[in-house]
Amino acid sequence: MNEEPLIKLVSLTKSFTTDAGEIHAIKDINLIINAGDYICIAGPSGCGKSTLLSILGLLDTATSGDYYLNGHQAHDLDVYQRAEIRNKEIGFIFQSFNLIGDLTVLENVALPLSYRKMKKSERMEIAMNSLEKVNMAERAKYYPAQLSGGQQQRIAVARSLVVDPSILLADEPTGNLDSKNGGAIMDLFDELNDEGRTICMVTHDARFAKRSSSVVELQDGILLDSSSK
Amino acid sequence: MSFTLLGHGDASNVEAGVVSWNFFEMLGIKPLFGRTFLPGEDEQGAKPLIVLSHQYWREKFNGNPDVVGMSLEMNNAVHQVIGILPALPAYPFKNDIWIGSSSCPGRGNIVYNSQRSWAVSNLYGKLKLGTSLQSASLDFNTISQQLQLAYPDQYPKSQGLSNTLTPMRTDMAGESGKTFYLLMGITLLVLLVACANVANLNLARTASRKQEFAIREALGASPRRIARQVLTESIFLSLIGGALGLLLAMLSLDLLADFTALYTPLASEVKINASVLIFCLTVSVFTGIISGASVAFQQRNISESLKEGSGNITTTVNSKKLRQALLITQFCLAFIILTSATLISLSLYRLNLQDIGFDTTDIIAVDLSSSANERSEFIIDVAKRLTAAPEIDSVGFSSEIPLMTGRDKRRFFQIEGQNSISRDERPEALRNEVSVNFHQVLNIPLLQGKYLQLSDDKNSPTVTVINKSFADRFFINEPAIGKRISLDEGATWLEIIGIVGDIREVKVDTSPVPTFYIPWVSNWQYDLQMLIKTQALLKTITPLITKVVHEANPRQAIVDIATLKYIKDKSLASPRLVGSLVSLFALLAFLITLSGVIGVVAFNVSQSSKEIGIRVALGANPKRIRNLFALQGMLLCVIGIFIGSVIMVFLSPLLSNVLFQTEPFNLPMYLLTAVVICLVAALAILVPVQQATKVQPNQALREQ
Repeated sequence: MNEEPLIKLVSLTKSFTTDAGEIHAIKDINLIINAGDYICIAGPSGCGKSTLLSILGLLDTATSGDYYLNGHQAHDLDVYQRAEIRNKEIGFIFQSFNLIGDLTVLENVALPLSYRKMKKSERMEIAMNSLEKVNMAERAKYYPAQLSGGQQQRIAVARSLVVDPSILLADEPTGNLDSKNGGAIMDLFDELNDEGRTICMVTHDARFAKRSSSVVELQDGILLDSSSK
Repeated sequence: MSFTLLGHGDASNVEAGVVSWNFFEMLGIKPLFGRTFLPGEDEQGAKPLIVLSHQYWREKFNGNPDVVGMSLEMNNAVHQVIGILPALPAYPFKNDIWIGSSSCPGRGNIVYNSQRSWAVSNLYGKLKLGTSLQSASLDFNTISQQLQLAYPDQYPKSQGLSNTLTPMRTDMAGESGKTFYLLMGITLLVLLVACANVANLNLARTASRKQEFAIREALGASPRRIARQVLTESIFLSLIGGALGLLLAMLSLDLLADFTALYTPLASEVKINASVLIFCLTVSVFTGIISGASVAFQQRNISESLKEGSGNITTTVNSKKLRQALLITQFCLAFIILTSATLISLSLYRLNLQDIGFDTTDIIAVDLSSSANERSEFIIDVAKRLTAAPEIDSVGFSSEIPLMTGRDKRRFFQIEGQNSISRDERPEALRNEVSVNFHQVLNIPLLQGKYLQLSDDKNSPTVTVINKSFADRFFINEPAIGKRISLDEGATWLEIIGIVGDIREVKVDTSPVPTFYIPWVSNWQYDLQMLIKTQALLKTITPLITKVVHEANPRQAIVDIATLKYIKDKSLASPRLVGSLVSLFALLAFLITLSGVIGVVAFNVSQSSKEIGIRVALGANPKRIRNLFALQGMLLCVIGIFIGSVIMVFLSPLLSNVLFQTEPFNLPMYLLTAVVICLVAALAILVPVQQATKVQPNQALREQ
């Protein structure tokens, strides 16, 4: 394991100003994620899990505090820099799959690569390899609407892997799936982590939280004790 | 024919239709008051009678029916008003009054009537039921042949006798057909652009009503019922639009009638009547159906639409393709209309620049039309007095002022030394009787020989000056100067003494025609137009002109006084109007299309917030997001333009009827139009595209 953590959060806070005063979505979060970790952020609904994941994924910015990714500060980047890092370092998996309806499966998976200077044939080849990892290569020419929920989530996983990211961020990946498909996705996550992928997952499902190597509890935006296996 | 009417206020010029007694009876026209002519009232010695046209009656006699029985003086004879016509199309000409042929100084003249070969009247007839135009023509040809045999001196074989039968309906429509079809075509295209735009907006509206329709269907509504609902809504909206359009038409009726009058005597038929209302209703209903069809017959997945979180997948393929197809259609049609407008504008520009061959600067035209007796003394007197005025440089006369009437009055003639040829092959040219200084007043250049000279003023002319077109057409490989032509089959001859430059006599967009000029003589019998060269303003010089004319003859009516520049501009009025209308339609179509593309791009952005969120999450920066939607919009624009340009290649020959010195397939104009459309479209979609970059990805990704 590298000594330098993959992700380091120092006193990270995200707050909103409302008529009722200042509200903290998350407050003074200190967290370290090392390469190869399989971490789960758990907590009740509205505790700030998704907000934390958004900041980790550079989809949102913290109000204060520091965020280091691969040893580089990531808290004061401009929108273009954040986009570049998201494209290269981060793979997203969402609860609602978030596939683009008028692109084929293969095109959806290759989409992140289209933001790099690559030939189309090269992009498609890498995307096909990614589909094969999730056993969905035969559906490459299908459209998302032709697939089941479980299959769509597999496509979403393939898309997240196509850029060879430093970390996979999964926000309630089984939230829209039945238990069988949910289990299948979690099995996939296990396989990826066994291969050395760093995974940070948000879930409120205790069954799936147990499958991670460590769980951090969030409540009212504050990080409680973490536990590891 | 133009005459001076006296006996009711000031002497006024009237246009008189000269007819046989049964003209109105044959056409089934019954008078509003009084009567029309009876048998025998068109024969020599008959009492001079007048029938008033409806418009003249209303304008000059305030619509007073007591005018029937009134006596008026015309052509040194007392005429009695016997009847008033109902409102009729101005056909065959816009006549103020109608008189029997015996009352006409020309057509009632025994000498006129004895000249069989003088074609001074048009013949109108009603075909028997079941008789075709073709068989009637054959009958006429038979009669012509019989007349030739009976009167060989009047109808020599070398000239023959021929006739052409034309349906009155065709004659009445005149030159209007081509222009009206063009405008109808353009209007239809604009309507289609609007329909496509509304269809796209309807599709956008439907996206937000997807769940509503799904619920209705879940509760038992059949797809046909849903379609009926959607079409009803669409037709209702288009009926409101149609009503507003009708209101606009009612408010601009006078303008429409004035425009129509430029082309056809049927202008008085331009009104809002049952036919127009039915047409408007029909178009409105069809527009509603076309606009609503894209939504009414759209296939829906009820279960998917009812599910919560149906936003797992962004917009479906079919819906997006339909919207894109509609927008491509709009750009295609807008390109066709805009290119047509560009070509017509270019044509108009060339028309305005066209050299008409004569000077219009500082020249005033005075239309005296029918002049009093003793014309030569009158002319000499007026010219002398006006020329003496310090404000006036020179005065000329002619029987025709170029561009004024727009009528192509050609005459047959014979060239000395050329073999006799058949009547159909007789040469013809425009004939103009002029004062000897006519060409100098109008600054028409002398190319060879000499202008008409003062010494040529005799009782009957013996010389003529021809224009370049005449020389080029009839004296190809030989000099024209010194040659002689005859207008009366060799009885008298005119020697060609000069060749002048071509001028546009008939219309600006009509090429010069072979023309010969004959000097005015003492027994001038033609219409009289005066040309006055002066630097004084029209309103300043008009009182002087009027005074001099009336001092020379108080009974002389002045039909019109206008600058030659105004006459030229007036001759360009109809192409300018067509150009303006087409340009207006093109602008309208383009604005509708622009609003369509802005709307579609904005809608795409709003519907794609989740997709934008996904793309941003995957690493797309703001510039990429902007470019994505901008390119989507511009691609549709380019595809639409391409299809439009292909269609335009096939449609462009239809424009050639209205273009002047402009090829309908004009690649530079096509490219220019395409570039302008693309540039403006790119600017227009900047705002909605910019909105795309403001989407908050973390919020968009959480939205269901």
